[in-house]
Amino acid sequence: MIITILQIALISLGLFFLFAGVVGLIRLPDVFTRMHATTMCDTMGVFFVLAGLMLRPGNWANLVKLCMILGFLWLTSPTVAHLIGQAAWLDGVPMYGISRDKGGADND
Amino acid sequence: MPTTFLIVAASCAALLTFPAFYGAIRGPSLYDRIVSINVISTVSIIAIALLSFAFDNTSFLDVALVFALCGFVGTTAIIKAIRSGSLGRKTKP
Repeated sequence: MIITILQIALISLGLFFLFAGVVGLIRLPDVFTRMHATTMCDTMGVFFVLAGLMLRPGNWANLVKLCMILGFLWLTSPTVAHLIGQAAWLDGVPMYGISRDKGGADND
Repeated sequence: MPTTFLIVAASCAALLTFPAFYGAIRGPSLYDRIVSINVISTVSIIAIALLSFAFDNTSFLDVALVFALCGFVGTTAIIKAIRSGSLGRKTKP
């Protein structure tokens, strides 16, 4: 009973984080600020939903698979975010509210 | 864990792909679209993982794992192709 309530709370919290990430993707004005919102959705939302699923009593194979999904996403999503940010910065994408005259694409 | 809650949670996660798809269509630069497609991939992984427990069919977890691998490789390949113009050569100096 307690485990069920904890599972529902964790999955709801993870879905809230995913929702906040998508709202940030729609509302924020810039590539870099959008990326800041969506990487939070990648780490926290995925962690809470998969932790809620890990609490389910079952066989160990599901737990190992969920741990592999979580570890792989935590390993790759910051890498992808860094790659996108670096590519956008070197391509000279304008930043919202900040002038890129000094320290622009020439100064990587 | 009631199955209906899992199905409702998976539906919420699947419905979140539509705003991300709107962001992918709207995004002014190419990188906004890549970020949006990355979000679509993450939300799809979550929806598949929830559905695997809703249907008690744990082979969907392998699908989610392979989807995570393919999303990372695909995004990295897209960025490399954008920056160097090709997938085989080194990046431009």
